Amino acid sequence: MKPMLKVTVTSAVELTSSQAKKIVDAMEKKYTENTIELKQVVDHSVIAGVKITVGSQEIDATAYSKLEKLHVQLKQSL
Amino acid sequence: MDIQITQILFQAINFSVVLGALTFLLYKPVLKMFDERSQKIAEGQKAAEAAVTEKNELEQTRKKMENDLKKERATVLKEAQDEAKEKAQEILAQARKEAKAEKSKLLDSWDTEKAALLKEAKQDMADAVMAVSAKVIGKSLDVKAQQKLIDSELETILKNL
Repeated sequence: MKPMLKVTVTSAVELTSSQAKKIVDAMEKKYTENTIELKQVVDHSVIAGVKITVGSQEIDATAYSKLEKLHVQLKQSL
Repeated sequence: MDIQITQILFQAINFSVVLGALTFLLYKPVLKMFDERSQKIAEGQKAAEAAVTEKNELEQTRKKMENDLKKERATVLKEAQDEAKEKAQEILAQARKEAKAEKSKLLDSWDTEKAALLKEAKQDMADAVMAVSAKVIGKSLDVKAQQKLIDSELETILKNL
């Protein structure tokens, strides 16, 4: 029995089944020793895009994080 | 009328005696008295003159002292006035210097405050832009657009996994 690996996906809207499958397949391909458990989180504060969290690793491709980076750069330039 | 020589002689002798007695008893003492009186008067006059002279001398000394005092007073007053004037100018110069320093300090402080306020305003503006952008982006994307965006991001993420 393979150990469970929790993958959290945060987005502003619920994922479609094909999107969810794509993620699971990709994770299974990468983490072959684990069984992937997908958890979907709908959070409007991310505005758009998606954020994937696997253990301590996080891949943030949300509109919010991009805006936040822009915000920080703007403040630093002032 | 018979002129009796003895009678004349007797009268002459009588007269001489009286004259001699009068000279000795009256004339000389009276003369002495007059002399003494004249002497006293002269002495008194001398003393009066000496007193007048002394008085004049004292008066002159008094006037001289008065003049000296006036001069000294004028000198002291002038010195005091000059000192006061000098002190007033020093105080004025010091006050001007302090006012200038205070003004410079205030201007510097104002410039610093102005810069800080400007920076704060710009940062507030950046925050506002961020908030508005987030709202606008959020509102402008419908579910279909959101899904399309998720697909696009997933393609990139999963490719680089």
